[in-house]
Amino acid sequence: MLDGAKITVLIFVVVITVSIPLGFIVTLLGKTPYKPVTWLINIYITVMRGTPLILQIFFVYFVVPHIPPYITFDRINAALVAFILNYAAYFAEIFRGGLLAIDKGQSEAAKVLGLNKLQTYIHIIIPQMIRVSLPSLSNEAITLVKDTSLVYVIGVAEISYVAKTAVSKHVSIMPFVMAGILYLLLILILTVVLRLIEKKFRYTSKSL
Amino acid sequence: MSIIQVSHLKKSFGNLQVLKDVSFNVEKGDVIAILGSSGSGKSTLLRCLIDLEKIDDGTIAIDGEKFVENGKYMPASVVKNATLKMGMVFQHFNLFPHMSVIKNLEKPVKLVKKDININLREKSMALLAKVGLADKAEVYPDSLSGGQKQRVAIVRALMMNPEIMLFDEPTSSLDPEITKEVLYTMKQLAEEKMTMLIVTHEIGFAKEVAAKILFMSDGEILESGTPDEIFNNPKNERTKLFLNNSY
Repeated sequence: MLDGAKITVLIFVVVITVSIPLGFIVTLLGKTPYKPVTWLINIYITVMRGTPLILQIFFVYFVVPHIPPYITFDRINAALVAFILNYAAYFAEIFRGGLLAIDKGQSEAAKVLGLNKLQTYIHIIIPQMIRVSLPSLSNEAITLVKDTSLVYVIGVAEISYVAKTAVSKHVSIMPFVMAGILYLLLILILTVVLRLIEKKFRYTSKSL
Repeated sequence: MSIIQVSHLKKSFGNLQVLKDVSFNVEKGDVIAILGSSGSGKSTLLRCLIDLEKIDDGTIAIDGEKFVENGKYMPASVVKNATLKMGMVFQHFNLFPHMSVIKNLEKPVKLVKKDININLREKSMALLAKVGLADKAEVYPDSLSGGQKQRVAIVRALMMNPEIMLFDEPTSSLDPEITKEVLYTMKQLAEEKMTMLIVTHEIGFAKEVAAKILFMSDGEILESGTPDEIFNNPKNERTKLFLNNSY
C-alpha cells in the first residue's frame, strides 16, 4: 500500500510542478494579439475541460500510439501526460481569472514610474495574480490528489489500484478503509502546506 | 521655453472625440488647475501627456523634447525619456498592495534608475517624514487611510525626481476631512516651485494655489487665465454656469 502511496505522491508532485508553469504560459499565450494562437488556446482549454479526464488518459495511452507521430508511452508516462495537459488547462483558467482581478491602475502606475512591461509583470502583476489565484489553486491541488486514483484504469499501481487488488486477494474491505485513510492523510499534509503558502502571500499589516 | 508645450492635440475613443484641438503651454514652476465638468476631457488630457493614452493628432513637447509630433510618435526610448520627467498621482492611488510603504517607494527607483543612490533610504524616509508618515514605512497599504495612501502615492512619484507632477483628481475619492491633508501636501509642493497640473473639483483649492486655470468643456479649453480672471470675470457663458453650479 505504501508503494502505491509513493506512486500517488510522484504523480501529484510531477503534475503540479509541470502544469502550474505550463498553465501560466497558456494564460499568457491566450492573451497574445495573434488570433490563430488564441484560437488554438481556446480549443485546447475547451477540449480539456469539456471531456472527462478518464477519456483523456485512455486517449494518450491507447490512441496516441496509433496516430502520427506514433508516440508510445508507458503507463505512468501516459498518465502524467494526460494529467499535465488536463490540469494545465484548469490552472490557465485560474490564472486568467487572477489577472482579470488586478486593477489596470496597477500597470498604469508601474508605467508612469518607468517600469517596462517585463518588470511590471514580474514585480507588480504576477505576485498579485498568485495571491488572488491561491485559494482556487489550492482547491485544484486537493482535487488532483484524489484524481490520481483515475490512473488505475490503465493499470498504474497507485493507492486505489493496490487497495482494489488487496481487497480481491484477502477478501477483506480493510484495504479500502486504509486507502481512504491514506488519501485523507496526504490531503491533510497538503492543506497545511497550502495554508503556509497562502500566509506567505498575504500582504497586510493586520494580524488575521 | 515652456516646460510643457501642447499644440493641436486631438484624441477620440471610437466615434467620440474627447479632445478637440487642444493647445496650451505650461511654464516651469507653474501650478495649473484644470477644471470642467465630468466628461470634458480633463483626465484624458493628463493621460495623453504621460503616454497612458495615444493621441490621434497634435504635438506634445516636454522640456523642449517632442515625443509626439503631428500625431506621429517618436521611438519608445524618446517617449519614455520625456514621460519620465513627469510623475503622476491617480484618483485611486494605485499603490502596490503587495509591497510595504517603503518598498512602494524604493522598488520602482531600484528597477528604473541605473545609478542607485546609496542614500535611497534616507531620501524615502525624509520624504515620508515631510508628509507626516515616517511611522508608516513598514506597514502595508491596506492599513492606511485614503489620505495616507494618497500622500504615499505622491511621495512615490517624487522618488523618481520628476520635474512635473500630474494629479488626476487626487482628492475625488476622499472624504472632505481627509482631503485637507492631501491638499496640504500638494500646497507644500507648490511652494517649492514644483510644476504641477491638477485635474480637480476642489474649486477653493484651485483658487488658492493655482497660478493659472484651464477651464475645459466638451474636449476644448474654453477659457484660461489667472484665478482672478476666471472666477471674477469669466468671459464664457458655460464657465459662468459651471462656476455658479459649483458654489
